[in-house]
Amino acid sequence: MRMWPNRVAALISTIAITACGDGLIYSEWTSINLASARINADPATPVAIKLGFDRNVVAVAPPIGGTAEQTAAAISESSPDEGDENGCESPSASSGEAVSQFSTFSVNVSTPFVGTGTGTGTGTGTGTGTGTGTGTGTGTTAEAADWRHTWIHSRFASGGAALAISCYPRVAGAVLGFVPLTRLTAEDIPLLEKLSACVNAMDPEQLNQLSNTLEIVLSESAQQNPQEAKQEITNHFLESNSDQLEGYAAGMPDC
Amino acid sequence: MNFTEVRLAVPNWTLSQLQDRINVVEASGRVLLAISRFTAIGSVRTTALTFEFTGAAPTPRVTLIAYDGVTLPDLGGRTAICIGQCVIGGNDSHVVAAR
Repeated sequence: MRMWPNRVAALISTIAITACGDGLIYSEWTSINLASARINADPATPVAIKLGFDRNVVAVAPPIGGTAEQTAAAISESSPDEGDENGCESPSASSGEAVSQFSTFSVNVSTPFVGTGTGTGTGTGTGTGTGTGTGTGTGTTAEAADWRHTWIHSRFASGGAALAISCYPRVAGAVLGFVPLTRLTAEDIPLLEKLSACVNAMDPEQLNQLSNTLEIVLSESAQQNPQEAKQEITNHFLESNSDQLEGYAAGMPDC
Repeated sequence: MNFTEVRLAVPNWTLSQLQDRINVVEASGRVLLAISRFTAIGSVRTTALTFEFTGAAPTPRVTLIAYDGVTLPDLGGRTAICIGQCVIGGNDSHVVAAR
């Protein structure tokens, strides 16, 4: 079942109607798509269901006291290559924005039947003029009935908070769940490959033992999902430096 | 179930540095899916790379090739993975990722 086309049409219509006036548009929509459902003779996987989940957030603030051209000029004049390593000292180009927003959305499906689920989401927002709107947050929603094992994780930063972090991708990444590429270099690849291969060959009990040994705290969902546990442990490898990676190797003498 | 990750590069890396870091990430059991320019609200631009965690390191290694954004370059027998915009040395650049 797809629900979004009507919402998109409504949003486009709303934008078209109000584009000439002052106003703020905020819209978000979600769609759940049933990709496939299969009933098997195999008792180990009696039912296999694949679900897709899309969620979109759009925020549009028509310019108040400014034009799109002025905003574009302000952005083009900004200097991205000064300041910290990510190249920014202050969000000067966005100081006139009414609303700014970052958001992410993810879904984990773990239903009583055997199934799989994935979800991704992105959000963007731009605007000019004056206005208010601040906040950061994380949210978890477990829906009822048959969806009691569906977990929805949403993170967002809006308004002043979004402006504050917009200069610092690493901070934005920490809020939104984005992660830095890695601090390791090509010289670390052989050891990283070796450790990752060991982790990816482990069973759930071994993963738990390893996370305790390396003092890596796994998320609640990773404790229930070996593949996610492997991802989180190897994330720690990727986010370490060369010396720390050697330290992880020392904690895995059987690898 | 596999997991998708978005990882952010440092914008002043060279193409070679970015390529090396992508191969480091892939060595940990992730596969490069997409490259895109990440424009934060404000003045920061960097490169966002989307990986899928599969638990198996893909081979051969990724090669990044810059091009003019119009005509795809000769990939030298490699297979293209994706094309996208990167921020290389602080400047926008069209890039093909191939292996």
